[in-house]
Amino acid sequence: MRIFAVAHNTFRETVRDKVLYVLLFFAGVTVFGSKALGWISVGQDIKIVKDISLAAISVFGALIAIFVGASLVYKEIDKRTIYTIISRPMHRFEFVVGKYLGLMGLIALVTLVMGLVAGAYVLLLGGTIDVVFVTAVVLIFWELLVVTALAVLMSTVTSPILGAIIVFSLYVAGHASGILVDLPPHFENTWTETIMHVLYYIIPNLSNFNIRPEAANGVPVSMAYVGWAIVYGTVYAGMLLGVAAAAFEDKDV
Amino acid sequence: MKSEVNQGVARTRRRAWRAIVIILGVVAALGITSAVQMQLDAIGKTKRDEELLYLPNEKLLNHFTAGLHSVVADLLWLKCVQYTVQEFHSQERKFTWLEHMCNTIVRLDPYFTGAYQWGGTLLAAIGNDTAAIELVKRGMVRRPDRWELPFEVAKTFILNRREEPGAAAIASYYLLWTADLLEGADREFFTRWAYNIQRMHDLSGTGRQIWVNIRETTKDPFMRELAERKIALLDVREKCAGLNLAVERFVQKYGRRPGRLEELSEKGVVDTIPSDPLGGMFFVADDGKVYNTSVLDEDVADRLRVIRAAINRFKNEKGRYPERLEELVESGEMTRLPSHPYPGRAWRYDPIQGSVE
Amino acid sequence: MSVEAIRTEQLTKIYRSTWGSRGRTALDHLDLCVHEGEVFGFLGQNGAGKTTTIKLLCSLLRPTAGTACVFGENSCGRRARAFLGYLPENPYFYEYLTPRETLDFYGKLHGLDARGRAREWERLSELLDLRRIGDMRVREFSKGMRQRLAFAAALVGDPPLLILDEPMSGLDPLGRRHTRELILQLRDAGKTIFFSSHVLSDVEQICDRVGILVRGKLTSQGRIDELVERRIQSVEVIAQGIPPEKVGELSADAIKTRVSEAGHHFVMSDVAAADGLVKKIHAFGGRLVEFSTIRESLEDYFMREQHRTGGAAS
Repeated sequence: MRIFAVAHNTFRETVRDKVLYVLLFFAGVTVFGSKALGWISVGQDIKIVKDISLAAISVFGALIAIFVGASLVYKEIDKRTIYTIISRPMHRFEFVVGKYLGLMGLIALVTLVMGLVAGAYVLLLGGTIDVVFVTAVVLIFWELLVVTALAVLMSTVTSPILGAIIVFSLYVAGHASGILVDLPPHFENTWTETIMHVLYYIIPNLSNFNIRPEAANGVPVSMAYVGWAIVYGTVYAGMLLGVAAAAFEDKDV
Repeated sequence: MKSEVNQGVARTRRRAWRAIVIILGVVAALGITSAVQMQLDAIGKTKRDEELLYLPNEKLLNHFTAGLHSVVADLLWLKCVQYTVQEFHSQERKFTWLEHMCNTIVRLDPYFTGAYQWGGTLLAAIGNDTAAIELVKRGMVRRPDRWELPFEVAKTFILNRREEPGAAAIASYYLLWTADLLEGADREFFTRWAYNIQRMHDLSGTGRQIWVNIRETTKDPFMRELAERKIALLDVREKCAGLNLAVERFVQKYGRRPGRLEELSEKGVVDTIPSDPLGGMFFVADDGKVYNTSVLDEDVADRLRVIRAAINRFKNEKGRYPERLEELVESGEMTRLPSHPYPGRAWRYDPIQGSVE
Repeated sequence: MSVEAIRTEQLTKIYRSTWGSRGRTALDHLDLCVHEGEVFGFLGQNGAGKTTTIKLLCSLLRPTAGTACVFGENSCGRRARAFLGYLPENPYFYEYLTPRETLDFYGKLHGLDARGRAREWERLSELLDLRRIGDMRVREFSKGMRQRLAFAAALVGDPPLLILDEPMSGLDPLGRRHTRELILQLRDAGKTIFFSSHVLSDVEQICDRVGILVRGKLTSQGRIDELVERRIQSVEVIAQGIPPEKVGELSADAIKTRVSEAGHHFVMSDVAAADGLVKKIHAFGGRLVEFSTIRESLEDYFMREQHRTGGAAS
């Protein structure tokens, strides 16, 4: 299918991006270095290694999604490789979706590799890997689905730098969105409260995907929760992709 | 020309339709995600802290660390351990920030068993058993699956509150709770211990056993050091108690109290005056009881902390320092004012500076 | 009525800047018509709007007004793109791929299965001499190789219409000749070729019809010999062996005279005058070396169109 042809091509292209390897290197350093912190922690070293590994996978995964994703479509336009693709008998949205799937393939691979390395490291240090840990990695991947969709959307409408800034800001906002419903009591029944609540439902709530404290402490999370979180991520990412495809439909290249 | 106008209109109409479809699509998608969000909030993976005294800056820290709040908790934990070791080796041993740090850590990562457990041990070790028990009990709400936490409560009662009436019953209750979360040989061990305690009158023997156990099993050098110290202090207390018994024998035999401690050995009531491995000395006070400076200094430090914490709370509430230490009890910050451990001495309080020694 | 290969009606494109309302009119109500099976040359100065027209036909741009149709299908739709193969001005590829992989990728975009793609590779690598470099990375290619690969890419799926944007720019004489031959070969195979150029001699050699674009407006389109004035503008006579004293007399009727190694050149105003001159040359004992008619060239016509519509040289 055409979408998968574009996806495969994108995957091959992004695997060559140097930024990817720099970020992976720093992620590796972070994970392996976390043991050093563990030495002075009064016996909490496994928890700390788990915490930092999962944080590294999440943060570096997001950085890869943002930096590679935000320039994805823009680079094609800039380099004019897009001309001979868009002029083929395919829909414009197939191009956008293909690009997204290619990038997600890369991120899936990166997440899997980092997850395996972190897991192996924890086992090596004498810890255990339970279902929660694996689920946490899966939900990190779902979080990245949403972040990447946002990056691709930005890449169809604006330049890479501005796009990266916007996606990064929404990433931080997405994790902080809980504060919009956690207002001090004197805000009750005001217009501000209503606006804040509406904003809470609009901004992608990325903390839904964050079960890392549970994973590091070995606290089980219900499958119902995980299921709903996956639904949330899929629908939100789908919506963003739809908007990206629509934005790209009439764009002059 | 007309066809061009028609085309233009048709084009605009197409664009308008497309825009409407997109907007409807986005609204529908957001509707679905909002509904899912409500489900997620209802299931709620983290129980929210009900306390209204939740400091606003902790809340902000939680929200704005971009999902890294458990890593921040870890880093704060490392800082806390460093701080504890530092304070332990310092002269004054104030540990002013320990309670606050522990509370922040568990608010950032409510599942952090280690923080509850070791925070509890450390706070109890410096004499702040109230804070310790409060902390560990919060942990028990969020980690009802961990046996270490009810055990920590039991330990605190055994080590810090053994003079209170009913301490043995409470400690035994928590030991049974601990047993409930374990299986097999471990479960039996704690059950037996619980029943043993109920029959005992003096909990100090079992307290020493707890510290010996920590010293043997811990991998952390600081914990070992702390345990050593605690065991040494308990041993010194034992020696004090032994010396007090010797004083009673002396009184029986000679009809008067000994003037100096050495009289006990001189008169042959004891073989030798024991030494204090912690560098302090034993002495007989005017009230005829034997005391030891190391133990007394430790008690002074512990009680000073408690008093200082109460003064700070008073200051935050009323905006001024209390005029007298008794005001702390009158205003309700403390239930009772601890006496000065050294017999015949009292706390020196400066109402202007708010300092006490 | 048969379907035209390309038909635009009042096709207009105005580029608007983001903030202001003023825009630049790149194409002004273009009515273009290209018949099936012909080679059509699209001429214009740099910046006249040739690339814009091509991009509109390939749906890289959306029109501000008007329509463009390829074989009866609106160019904005997906079906139209199945009929055309596009060669951009400076073709870009994914540098790390080989020609085989590149054509395989484009084949997938056309919906060809593995066997179809293999067949396309056989056919196109043969046609464009890519066999030897089939497994080299594009990164290492010269301009000529890239051009051949770009042609092959445009021909994937065997489209009946080829749209080429300045296909000969930057090529050496051998490359230009090969390209010309390829275009004629494709035309003979029944394809329609639409290409833009500002090199008039190339166009003159191979095109059936041309269109001239001046500042976004199509000033003329049609067969070259219909557009260009076919009247004889002048006649040049070259002769040798003329007695020196008679040169002056012969020169009197000529518009221009000069001397070169070939002999004496006389430019006469028409065939009759030239005929008379030749008789005189023979009378004086001279020898005729050459007799050639000079008609208006495409370049002359092009310059005429530019001046007529007020388009300044860019």
